[in-house]
Amino acid sequence: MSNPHRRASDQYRTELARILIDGDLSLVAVLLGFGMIVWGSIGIFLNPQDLFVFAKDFAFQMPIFWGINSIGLGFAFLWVAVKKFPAGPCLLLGTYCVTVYTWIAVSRAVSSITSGVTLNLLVIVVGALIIHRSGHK
Amino acid sequence: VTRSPIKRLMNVLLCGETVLLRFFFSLAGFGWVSWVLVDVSFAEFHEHAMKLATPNQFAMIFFIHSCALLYGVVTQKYNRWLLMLEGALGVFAWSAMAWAETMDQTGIGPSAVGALVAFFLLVRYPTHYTPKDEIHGD
Repeated sequence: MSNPHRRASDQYRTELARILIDGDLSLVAVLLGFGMIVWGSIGIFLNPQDLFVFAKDFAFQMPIFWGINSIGLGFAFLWVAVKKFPAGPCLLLGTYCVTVYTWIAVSRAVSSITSGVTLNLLVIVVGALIIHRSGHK
Repeated sequence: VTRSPIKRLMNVLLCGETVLLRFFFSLAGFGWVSWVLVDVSFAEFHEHAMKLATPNQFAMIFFIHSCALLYGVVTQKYNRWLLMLEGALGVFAWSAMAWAETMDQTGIGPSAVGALVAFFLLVRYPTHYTPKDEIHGD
């Protein structure tokens, strides 16, 4: 007879795996999109010195680029969610997110700017899931 | 039936399944806990945050919130205690961090977005599950 605690933990693990593979990514993409638009807009229009601090640790020191990058990605997330994850654009968007944000996370960790690394990792995971979902739903 | 993008967007926001969002939000919370604990310069650069709580207290609040989110996701429990922990505590913790970060001029970034998501989850809490799922709640 199997242990009920083990059975319950197996059930929870299965549930988590199901959520990751089949969970609805639309809401995640929409909120991440809104978040990036808000962050990028505030960075460009209200708090540019924050973008300058952020950008000077990177290879190209163009604060405006990171603001536009964030707003553009935000709208792209909204678009793929509304269009139900079309294959081609999802592949492009996911690959961009994974490569660029891996670079950002590594650069930030090397420069000891740890505050945003956790959320950079989140963008990487969501980018990977968008690649996985491309054309599925 | 073709609907306008705005209507589709509203449909996703008002009726979309929140499970994956809560799962990722709990991961972000755990990441935040590790940052608060690991970053030795947190207290030095977050003067206003230190007026609200110590790094360990912040870490504890975010940890409890993240655990509640994860518990709600895997067990599909739906009750007023989880409403307080998943929704209200999340809004309190992320808003406090967003305010402190903004006042410290270290940037309005990630925690303000976290506060936005926490507020959204609080508003959407009554609709996290379909009526069929409500029978599993306490």
